Amino acid sequence: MAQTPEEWLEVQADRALARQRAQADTAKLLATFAAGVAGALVATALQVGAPEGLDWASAWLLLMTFVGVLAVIAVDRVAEADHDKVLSLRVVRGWSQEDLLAELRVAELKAVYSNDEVVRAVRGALALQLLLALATGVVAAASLLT
Amino acid sequence: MSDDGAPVRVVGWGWFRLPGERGRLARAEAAARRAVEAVRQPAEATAGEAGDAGAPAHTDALTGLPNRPQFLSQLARLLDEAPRRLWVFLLDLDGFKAVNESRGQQAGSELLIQVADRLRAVLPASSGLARVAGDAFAFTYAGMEAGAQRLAEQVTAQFDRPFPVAGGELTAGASVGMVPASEESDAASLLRDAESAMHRSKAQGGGGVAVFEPSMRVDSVPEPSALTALAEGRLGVTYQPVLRLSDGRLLGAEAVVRWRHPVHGVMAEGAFLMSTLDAPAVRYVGAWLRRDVLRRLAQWRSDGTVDDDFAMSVTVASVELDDPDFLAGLAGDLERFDVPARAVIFEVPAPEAEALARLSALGVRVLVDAWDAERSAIASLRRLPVAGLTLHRVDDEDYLRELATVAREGAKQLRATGIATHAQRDRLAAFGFQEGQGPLWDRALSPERFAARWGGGVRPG
Repeated sequence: MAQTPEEWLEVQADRALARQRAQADTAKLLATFAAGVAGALVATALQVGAPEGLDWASAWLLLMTFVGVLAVIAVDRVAEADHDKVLSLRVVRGWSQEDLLAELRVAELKAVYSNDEVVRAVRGALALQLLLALATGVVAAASLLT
Repeated sequence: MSDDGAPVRVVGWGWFRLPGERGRLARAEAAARRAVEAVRQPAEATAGEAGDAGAPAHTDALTGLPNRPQFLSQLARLLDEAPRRLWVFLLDLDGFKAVNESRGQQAGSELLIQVADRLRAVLPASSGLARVAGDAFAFTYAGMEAGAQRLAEQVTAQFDRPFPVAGGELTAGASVGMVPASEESDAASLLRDAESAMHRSKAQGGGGVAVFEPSMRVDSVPEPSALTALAEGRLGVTYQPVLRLSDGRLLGAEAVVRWRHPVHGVMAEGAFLMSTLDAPAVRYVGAWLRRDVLRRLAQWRSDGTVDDDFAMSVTVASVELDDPDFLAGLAGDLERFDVPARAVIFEVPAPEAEALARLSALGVRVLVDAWDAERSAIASLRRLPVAGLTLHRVDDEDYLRELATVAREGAKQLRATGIATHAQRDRLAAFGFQEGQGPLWDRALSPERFAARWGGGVRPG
């Protein structure tokens, strides 16, 4: 049997949700990894000689990098349809089967459209955090080399 | 995540909110509803086309909305599933008949299509919006009363902007009635109750929202009810000239309700119509009649059709006099249409003196229908605080003599109706009747014909 437009839309929404979830998870993983590498460089720099200007700068940058990690985690507000709540609303609002199905689809698409903005925000936060991690690493490396 | 729309939840930490989150969800919900609606409508249209073969049409051809049977069917299904917190709304356009008459039916159709479009835009997809009568739309809402009220206000706000119709702009208003469903409700009675509430809104001047109360119910009105006729523009007002018997000078006119009844034909006797309706219906029709008459009188006075001495007579039923809001409403109407109270005469059955005194105190003249008074009670009419008496029976000489005596002693004016011959006119004048009306001069005429025939107070040759 041919697929109806509603069914096609549902499949696309499912795919989009999975992709968005994966993008957000990847962003958090990258942010954590970058912070870890930067932290290792800073730790190494701090072990060589007494702490001086570049060491302190890298340490502060590392702190900001960790804050960036938290920011990436915080802006990950990827959502999904709350099916249980939709079903409970059915009784309260007197929906027919057809209305219920429509509302479930609305909730699903709402999550997708909302997640689009969330993923953009996560990418933005990740970009900023990666810059901080890069700066931290560069300053730590400079401290090691001088 | 708690917001007012379709529920979604954050997959991870959902216990806090970020700034701007509500706005993001609102935008997402709007986009999602547009997408679902865009997919759903063509699908429904296709299903409708497929089901059309051999099946009765469920869709209004003009607006594409479900029709009344379909709405009732959907409403019945909703009531079966979950009647609690379900609201039924009925919206009726104010003055739609005037649009059809002044701009033509094509403009009326355009207006209906645009109204349907605006309602579609403001109502949720699950509202079941339908066109249930000529200019009446119905829809439902599931939720608390505050939400229902908000929705009604959003709907009426759609009429704040004019409608581009027939190359111009048209300002239209709508009256809305709303009723909550209960466990005992059935679809037809709910729609009827919403209609009653809508009529209350119209009787209060239109353009508003009224929530149904049991006192608004008009179950006893036979179908098709006068209220339905009023809503559908089948009630009209005709005017019969009232003349001075001595010289035939035009003194005023009596407004008579005319009902184009689908079964009984034209019913054109105000008093009879009023007596067949129950109290709430009489109040609605009476309020409409007064406003229509005052609007017409104001127009005729301003364009010179009648002079300042012209007095318009309107029949008022006893139940209207018992209505505590009647006098305030009347005073408001007089002010609204800028008509002096002395230009209005109310013909009332013989009610209690207190109600008449209140009415007279407002400045309007009151004529008591002497025919309704018991023969034995004629003498008491002289003590009533009214301007005069009217009489519909012109051939009983004893009665005429008795009434003339009462009027003379009480300094009341006398008016006779139904005068058909010169002999009747002369005899009534001899008894002391000052004014009269009847087929001898003219029958009740449409406003336009009355203005053409009697404009300027000239008696037609």
